[in-house]
Amino acid sequence: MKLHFPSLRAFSGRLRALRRAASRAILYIIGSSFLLLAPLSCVDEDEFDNSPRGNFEALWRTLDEHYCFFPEKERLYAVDWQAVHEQYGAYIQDEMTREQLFDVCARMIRELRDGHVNLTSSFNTARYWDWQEQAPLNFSDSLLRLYLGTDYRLSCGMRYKILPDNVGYVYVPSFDVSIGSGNLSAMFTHLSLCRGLIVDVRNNGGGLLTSAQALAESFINEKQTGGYMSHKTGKGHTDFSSPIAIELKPSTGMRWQKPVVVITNSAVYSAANSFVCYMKQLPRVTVIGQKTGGGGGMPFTMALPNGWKLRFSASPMYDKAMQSIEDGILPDHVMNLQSSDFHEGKDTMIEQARRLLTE
Amino acid sequence: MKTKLLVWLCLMPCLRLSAQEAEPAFMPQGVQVRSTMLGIGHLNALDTYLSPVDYRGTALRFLRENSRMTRRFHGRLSVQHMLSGYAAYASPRSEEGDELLAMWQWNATWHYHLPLNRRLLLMAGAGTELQTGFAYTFAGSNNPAQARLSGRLAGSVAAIYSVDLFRRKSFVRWQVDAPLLGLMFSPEYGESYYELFSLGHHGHHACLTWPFSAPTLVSHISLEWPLRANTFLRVGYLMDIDQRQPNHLKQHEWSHTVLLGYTKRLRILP
Repeated sequence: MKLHFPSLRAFSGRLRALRRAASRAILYIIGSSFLLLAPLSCVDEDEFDNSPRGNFEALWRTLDEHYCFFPEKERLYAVDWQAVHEQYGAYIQDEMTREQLFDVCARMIRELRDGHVNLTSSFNTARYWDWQEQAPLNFSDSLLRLYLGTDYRLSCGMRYKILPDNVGYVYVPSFDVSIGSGNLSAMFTHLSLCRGLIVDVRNNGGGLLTSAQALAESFINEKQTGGYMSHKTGKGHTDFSSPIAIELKPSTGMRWQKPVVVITNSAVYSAANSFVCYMKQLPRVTVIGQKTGGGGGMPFTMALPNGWKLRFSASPMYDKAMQSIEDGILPDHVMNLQSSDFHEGKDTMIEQARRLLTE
Repeated sequence: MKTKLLVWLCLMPCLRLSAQEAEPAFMPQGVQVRSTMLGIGHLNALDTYLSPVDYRGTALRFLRENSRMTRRFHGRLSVQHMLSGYAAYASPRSEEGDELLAMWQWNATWHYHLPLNRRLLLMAGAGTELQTGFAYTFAGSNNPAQARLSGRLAGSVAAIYSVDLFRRKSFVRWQVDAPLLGLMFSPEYGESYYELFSLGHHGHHACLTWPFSAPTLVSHISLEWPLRANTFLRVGYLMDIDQRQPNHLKQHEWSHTVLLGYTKRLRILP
């Protein structure tokens, strides 16, 4: 019997052919995979036309997907955002002018009754300012001049002075400027011999939340929760993350240890509203004046196809008791500017604060 | 068969073939192929965290590539290190509120070489990518910028075709990379960077990417034409389709870039 063995050369040849075939197969598989990958769907957003209808729809949808206070506005003001679309969409016509379109859009966003919702064009800014325009401001810059005079100190926008009864007074018109612990230490060093401190934030429309936080952190000695913040996790009106604590850490600079009175009015908004929220819970702090304007949502800004800028509340904020601060914060003592005091050149709130700090 | 035809169609763009069968040196052992290229191109960018509208503009790109053969797999495995980056300035259709983008990427890719014949070398392999960058809009308030950070594993196929062009032995190189699995950083849908950095919020920021959540493809075709013995002029076209959908956000950067540079073949001292 004779066994037939294929020659080594033939075997090696077959092995080479097999390897070549396998290599090609692998290549074709990888190549085909890449060709299949190529037509995978593009990640893109439906871009609206730069037409009245397109801009209106872009505005409505951006708010629909990103605005954070729909549940609250629905509860407080029965805002039905879909019905709002039907109502104002009926006014949109292709031949309308940009001013007419702006007017319709402005009226639509006013339905949300939110000062952080603005539409900005080159010719106008749509806004809802009823919280300050429909309420008495209880603030007079003429009276403020009488108290501050011209020899007040000015640091990071804060104007401060020692009043005749040895009470420190600081007026904070805005949180637009970044406030550092060095600035605060210098201010508190100057006011350190005062019996107490008045922090007047009337007409403060907000600014940097970090500045509001920095100022509030000058009045605490231990780390504590100032409030909570949440954000949207999806397009749904109720898609929110679990709230995260806004931790206030004691300032590394000089910290104020004496009584404080915070004066507010209805024009206190946004970051200033958060400042009042942080301060109201502190033991040595009394808040007097009127309910703040609110603005408890951190705003985002996005663009419409025609370039108009849309600002809206994107992340809701809450106080320590998990109550929304969007609608404003009530002071400990509600009081108004009295016309009799005004005629005497006195600011009712500042006088009351002085009494609280000196008695 | 169709795939084969498509590969051939892509690799044979109207170039004069030589009748002579010369031995092409695609990437010889002991030689490092080093390329430097600069390019300019068009970019289309979208990031719904910043704005729902597309931004279009011009991108300037830099690309540095080092390739060499290793001794693994009987000397059939090459390693390619690529450093690339671009800076782009883009505007929306309304031309109000521009955007600035910058991206930096490092790739290390290993290719297994499968020479089909003396003129055509096919390569297939895989690699890693690290990408970092940012997009900044001049119109944003609390959402003015978006950071990019990702690490990915990618598949890669490439082909080198040797061709005589103006009586010089030139190389046409085509490479396609597609990330297959990775991790990327992203804020949550409506989360501000204030929450991330000032409040230290730890949410779902590390997002898994794969072709159906981040269909990304980079295709680079180039021609290397010899200037001197070991120096080549390199002209290329790069299509970079970079897309992601983390945390219900949509992001893309589509760019088409024409590149010009040179390639040097440097002998590695033993």
